[in-house]
Amino acid sequence: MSLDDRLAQNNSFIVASSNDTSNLINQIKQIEDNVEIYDICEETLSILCKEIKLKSRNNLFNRYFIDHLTSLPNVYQLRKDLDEKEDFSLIIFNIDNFATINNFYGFLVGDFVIEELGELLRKRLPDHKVYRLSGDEFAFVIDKKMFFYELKEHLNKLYDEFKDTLIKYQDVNIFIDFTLASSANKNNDNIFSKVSMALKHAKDINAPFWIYEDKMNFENNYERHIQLSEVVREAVGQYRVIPYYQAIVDTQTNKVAKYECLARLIDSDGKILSPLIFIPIAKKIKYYNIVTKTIINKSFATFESIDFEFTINLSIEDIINKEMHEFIMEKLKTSRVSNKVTFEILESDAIEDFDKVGRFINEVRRYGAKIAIDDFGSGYSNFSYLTKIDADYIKIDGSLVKDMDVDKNSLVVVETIVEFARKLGIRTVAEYVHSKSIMSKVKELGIDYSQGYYISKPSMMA
Amino acid sequence: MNLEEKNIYLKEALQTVDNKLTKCKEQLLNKYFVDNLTNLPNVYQLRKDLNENEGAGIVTISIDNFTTINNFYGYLIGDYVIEQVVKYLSTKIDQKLYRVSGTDFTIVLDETKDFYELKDYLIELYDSIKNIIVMYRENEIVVSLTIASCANANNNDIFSKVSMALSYAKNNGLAFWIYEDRMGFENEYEQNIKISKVVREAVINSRIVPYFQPIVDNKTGKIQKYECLARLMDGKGNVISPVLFIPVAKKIKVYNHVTKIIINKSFDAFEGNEYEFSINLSIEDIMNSDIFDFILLKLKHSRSSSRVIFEIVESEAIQDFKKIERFTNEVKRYGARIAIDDFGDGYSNFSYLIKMNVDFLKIDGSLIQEIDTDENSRLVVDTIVDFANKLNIKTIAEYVHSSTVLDKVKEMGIDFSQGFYIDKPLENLDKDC
Repeated sequence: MSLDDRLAQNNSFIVASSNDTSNLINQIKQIEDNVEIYDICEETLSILCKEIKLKSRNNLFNRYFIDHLTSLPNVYQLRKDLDEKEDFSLIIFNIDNFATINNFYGFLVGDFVIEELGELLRKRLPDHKVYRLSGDEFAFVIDKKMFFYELKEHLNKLYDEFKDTLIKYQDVNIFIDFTLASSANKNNDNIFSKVSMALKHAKDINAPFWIYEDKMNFENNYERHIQLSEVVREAVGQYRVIPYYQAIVDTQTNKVAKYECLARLIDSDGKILSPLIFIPIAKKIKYYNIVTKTIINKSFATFESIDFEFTINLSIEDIINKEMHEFIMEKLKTSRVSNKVTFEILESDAIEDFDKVGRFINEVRRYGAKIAIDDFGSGYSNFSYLTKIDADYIKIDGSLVKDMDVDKNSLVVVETIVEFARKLGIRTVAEYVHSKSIMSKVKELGIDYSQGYYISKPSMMA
Repeated sequence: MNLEEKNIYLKEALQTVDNKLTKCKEQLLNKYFVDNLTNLPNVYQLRKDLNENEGAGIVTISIDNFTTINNFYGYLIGDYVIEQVVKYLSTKIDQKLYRVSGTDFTIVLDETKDFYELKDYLIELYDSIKNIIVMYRENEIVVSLTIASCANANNNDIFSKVSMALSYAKNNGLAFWIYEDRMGFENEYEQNIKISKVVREAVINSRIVPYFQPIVDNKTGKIQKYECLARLMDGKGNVISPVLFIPVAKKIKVYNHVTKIIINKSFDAFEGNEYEFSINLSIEDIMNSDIFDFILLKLKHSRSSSRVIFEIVESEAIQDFKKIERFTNEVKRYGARIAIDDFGDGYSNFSYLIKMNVDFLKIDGSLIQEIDTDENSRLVVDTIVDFANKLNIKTIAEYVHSSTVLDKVKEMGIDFSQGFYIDKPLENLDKDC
């Protein structure tokens, strides 16, 4: 390739990369023209070189603000633009099924879809500035501050406009499902966070769009979540997860028959946290197994030296988890109190694999351990489930027990459960026994065991 | 300067210009392959590298809680966290690190590993990087990670495979997941895409229709009501069951349309006769203001409102019980009634049941179908019937598929029966009976 050809190629490259460089091209053209008249001085050339340097820097600089794939402005451009604006509305357009498209058709088609969609959005929304933020996300900016109802109407319109959007790739029709989010806030501080929280909320509830408002208090949730994660991480690391013990009495004799071991977390200030709060967090940050193991270890240790039976809560998740399963079997194998433990199984999900649960139950029974069904009468713990799981005890859900003395319907339900359990030879435990009148109803119905504040609160010592 | 000198001079000068332009072009090109924030090679570079040299598989490391960090601390700190994570990962990982998306980083393995080697490698990797703590002023920001890879003989579609493994790991809260061919993820994705299309087209063309299954009074043996069951016609003569298309309809957000189409068509079908009819609703439908209002409006204007029964399926915990209570109270003003569907199996919460002022309990088919042979099923059904009698609730048996089951159902005092022994769901209402 001759020098001139290469020069020409470079010229065309510059034209392609930036419109700003047309000036530069003209000057280079001039040089070419001047070849004829041999009239170039050193000075002109050095100016020219400087100019090229500057242009190329600008070019690189501009590149920083442009998305490679769609040539739309990117997230850095958006941040820059919003910094300079006062009155605007920011809308995020997130493709719901992009991972599916990408995984199914491959990333080349995925890229194609993004390119086409970017082009489509830009064309169909002339009064919006369209940005591509990330893989499956676009943003629109309108130079106008919209308030809640106006914004809602606008998002409704946008959703309808694009809801059956179809991208054709060869002869395949690819539909685009998406979710929109925006913020109807007086001030635009942290607008990205606000819109992103709204988006997450919309996705969680499967809504077509969501608009952030201050009163929703998303920040508090996030703040709380972050703080709690710290607390849980620290407490688990320092073994500050401990069992509390609540007495369960034999209804006939009024004597303590056993203790339920309830997980508590102590934060660095000595405050006690309930499992309702810290268990979901522990699951999220993948510390849940450690929590369960800690409780099991400490509970077994306690009852090595005290001669009472004790109960430990397990979720179906624990039973199905291989690591936990092995840990529990090892514990039962090596402990001297394996025949004093009852596992209270709580169902929060439908049991998909009854065989696995059945195997667990058979295996723990070999060590003399027993099985209770927790919170029976609520959630998934239903009658047919009881016939499939071979339980020793059922614990009647507290929400039914606690109103038994005043609510006839609750009484009928509890009565039904007790009769049913009796037919199957399963013993019953009443939770939430909080008053004398409940206690006497429990006796009247012949429920075998009772537990609740009327009898004793959970405490650190058994 | 003579002509020749000028010529040489000019050539040199043009060479300088040319060099500058080439450099500028290179820089621009390079920029295309580099992530702006971290200066790591990006996804395009990764694709290019893998194209040139297949490598021995890839591992993707993804930040779990980045949205939370970004939303809570703002994007400036979010960016800072990303930079710090990159720094940390670079000290722990020898391979070249690519930033392939906002939260995902990828490395290319140098040697092929089989499944177990890969597993050990990922366990070790996870242990070495699982808790990255980024200090920002006084704040300790803990970054948690999920890892995915692919243990496959070939590298076809490796991005998709690793991405499927990553989404599986994240959905199940696992530290890492390794893609294997036999998992059949692709089939799931393929199925998803196909059904989505069928559902979308059916909704647009109103090809969702109710089928009608008769329910007989066990005392008289006569048809007293029909259950309206949603079916989707795919346009090629296939009838698709709601078990298949409802989850998809929810995902692509046309579920409300489906519910409304079924309600409209069912009411239309029973305008001209005297039968009672039942329509299925989920808790989700009732919680949805759009559907809630739609139903009340329908009841207000229809002449058959006093003959409709809403069968409610509980599939999830009820968050806002007040709204459910309001729904049952409102529809009862128009004479409509409430049934609980699939009672006795799955999610069935007694404490809600007694607050909901229910008229019918439909006993779950899985219990009824074995009632003539299975002692436990009989015991459960007996308990439910007793309980319903005490609370003055009528009972309906589903899945009555044989004469022996029907006999048993009658013997146990269940009020109504429905099932294939009586009749299957019909495309059209039989006007004669």
